[in-house]
Amino acid sequence: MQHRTCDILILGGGGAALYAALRARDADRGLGIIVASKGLLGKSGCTRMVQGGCNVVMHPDDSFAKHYDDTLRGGGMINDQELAWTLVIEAPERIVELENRFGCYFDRNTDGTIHQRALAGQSFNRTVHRGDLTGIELMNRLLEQVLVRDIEVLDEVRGVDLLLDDHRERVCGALLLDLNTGTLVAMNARAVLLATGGAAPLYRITPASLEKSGDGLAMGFRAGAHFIDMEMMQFHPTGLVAGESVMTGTVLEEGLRGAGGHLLNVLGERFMSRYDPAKMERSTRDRVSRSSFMELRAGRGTPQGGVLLDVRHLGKEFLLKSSPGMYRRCLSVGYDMAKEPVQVTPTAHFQMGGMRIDTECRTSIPGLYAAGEDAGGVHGANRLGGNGVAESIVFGGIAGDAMVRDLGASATTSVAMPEAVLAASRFDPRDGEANPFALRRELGSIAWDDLGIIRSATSLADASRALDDIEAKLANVAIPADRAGHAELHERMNIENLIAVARLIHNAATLREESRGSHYREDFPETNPDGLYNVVQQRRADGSIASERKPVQFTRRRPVDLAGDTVIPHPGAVAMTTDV
Amino acid sequence: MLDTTPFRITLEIARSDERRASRFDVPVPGAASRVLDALLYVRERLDPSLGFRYSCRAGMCGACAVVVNGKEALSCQTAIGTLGTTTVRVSPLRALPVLRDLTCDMTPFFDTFRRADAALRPNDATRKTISVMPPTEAHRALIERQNGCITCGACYSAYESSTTRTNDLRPAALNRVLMLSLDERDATGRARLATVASEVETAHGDGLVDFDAVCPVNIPLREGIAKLRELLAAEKRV
Repeated sequence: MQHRTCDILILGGGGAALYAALRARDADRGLGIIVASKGLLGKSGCTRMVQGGCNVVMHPDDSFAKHYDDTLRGGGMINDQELAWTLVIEAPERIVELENRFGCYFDRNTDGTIHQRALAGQSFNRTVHRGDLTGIELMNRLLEQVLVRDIEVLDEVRGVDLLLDDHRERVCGALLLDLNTGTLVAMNARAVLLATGGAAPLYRITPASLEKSGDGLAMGFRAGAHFIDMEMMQFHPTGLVAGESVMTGTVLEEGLRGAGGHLLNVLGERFMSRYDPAKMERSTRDRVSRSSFMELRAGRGTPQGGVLLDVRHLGKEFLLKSSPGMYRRCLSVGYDMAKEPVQVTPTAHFQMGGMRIDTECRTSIPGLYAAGEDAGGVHGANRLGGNGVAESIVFGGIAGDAMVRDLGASATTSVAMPEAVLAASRFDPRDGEANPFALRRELGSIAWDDLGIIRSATSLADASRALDDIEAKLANVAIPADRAGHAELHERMNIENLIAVARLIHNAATLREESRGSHYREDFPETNPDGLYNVVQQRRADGSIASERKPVQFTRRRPVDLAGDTVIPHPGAVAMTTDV
Repeated sequence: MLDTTPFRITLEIARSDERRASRFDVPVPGAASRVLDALLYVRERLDPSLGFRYSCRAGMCGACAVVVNGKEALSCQTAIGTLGTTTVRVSPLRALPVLRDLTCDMTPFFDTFRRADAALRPNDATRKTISVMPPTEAHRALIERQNGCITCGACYSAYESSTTRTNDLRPAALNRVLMLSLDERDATGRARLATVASEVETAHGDGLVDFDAVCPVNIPLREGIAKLRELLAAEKRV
């Protein structure tokens, strides 16, 4: 085991991690900053894949209040109101910084002013974007800014566990594993940021980048951090069905439904008429996903497990102009959208829940920070399109600033070495015959069937037993003496982390006996007026989960202030074209 | 339509450890299945020691670039049915040190961006408003044409195969230098341009193979380098 020291350790390779690194570096040039990424820096994580864009109040006719209210309404009124407010008021500065300091260029109107469009659930056109590939622009510019700065990058190095001080009161580093060499590194750090992304890949079908496995969440849980809203997992309604290919689950953007696409079951019925006759396919993500899932469950799907998205009537010209990326993506797996319906399925998209943070990204453990999907509370029960990347850059930046500020007050605490050795003991070699990749598929199906779009007391009980079973089988996956490039070992670790997250989801979903936002209980299908609480969780010493319902603090808006639906100003505002 | 007619291929993989198997019989569930699907099949069912890289599997991150049947490609976007061969040969990118099987150390590639200082050096970093920049202006249209690189390294690899030089900046970094040279927000355009002058000369004069053709996002790299030469020539005249 190697021992190393730095001031700030950032785990993650997406938007939040890179933004934090840049802000911390520019705030104090004397600090030792290390970014460790499970994949290649700037290439792993999900910010890359952002299509829609970033919500930000810029237009004189828009307002913080409007963006804020949309966000709370979307979140079923259980958002952390201070975090959501922070998101709204900090986002404009970030966009300005991205353009003027980091070199992003977002789409313009013909007069050269910034172009903004509306994604679902917004009362104003406030999404800044770059065509339908916003994430590439954002990540390329952040990555190159990191490359030309004095920031140490550890590519393909994953976090294993956080290291605590002798009193187990403060995080003072992390145990890392270099995927290529197999070397373990006890990294002593004065502040650690977890920005490794959510656990959507727990589910059989997901658009998330494939290497993600909720590592930061699991590490935070094992270290004793508080969690919030873990029952809230967003499913996107239109993931591509491409048979057994990795392309299955990748997202076809919302604009296709917004522009008038129809969803059909295998009988040719526009099934949304059964579930939301007023809004039909333009209903919210959670409702459309649920409706598709019910059709599939009732046996009205295709043999490959999809419903049909029919956009033929929109015409080839429109499709090529409004969604060129999606048109190409479909064509590459064999569907010509202009000529035939495309098979789609709900797909596990975004984790709203995560570690509980304050408005400075501090978790409940001193020295430990969280941003992006590792943190919870901003989005409440459901995230609006365009608020995800806003969260990454706003809270990534805040974390970078806050760690530097807090360091001034914190003395160096060295890692308790017995702690590092203990953490490393999980790599003691052992024999085993189980195939972790097969176990992973099993886990994905369990989560999909019983912890997913529709839950019930019965499904949750089934899930609990099945998770126990997987965990028992996991013990029979070998741990090699030579860890270098060992894919099976990594899959074993991925599964361990995903099971930890699955148990948090299971526990919170069991506790919330109502339906709200993305959490739907078949046995409690109504939204309960008494449901305005957050499930807050923490690990007990024996590894089990302690949880309680904490009432939402209505510091800025009461539910009565925001009764009713978000008023969408002009129908069809989901139009994807810019006037460029 | 989604083609679900299964077939089989022989996957031939350039292994870094020659003692490891390099030929695998792999079932393919349909024509649109990706080369990445076949690699995952091998790792998960036949040989877990196989090293290869991937992340987004949607053609957006560029992590999975390899050489398929002799040509640079993203393994996640290469449909096996379009290759037209029942033997599919996969090898790592050229010109980069191999770490394990199909994974390369990408440091030399990213170093080209560092050496070229290929990042905005803002001339007004404290500006509090978004600049008015009409997209129809010629330089903006040109930047737009050259934009969208996913830093996969395919052009870096194809470039090497056509030249013996090893320290060039190569197309991806030069393309970014071009974009920055045209960007009205950048403060060091001319200085940066000067540092790449000799490399641009070589890039033009070396009779390169078509590194344009391997770009998975179709950036006109060759035209970009021609434009860089124009800018340099204009600089010399000043």
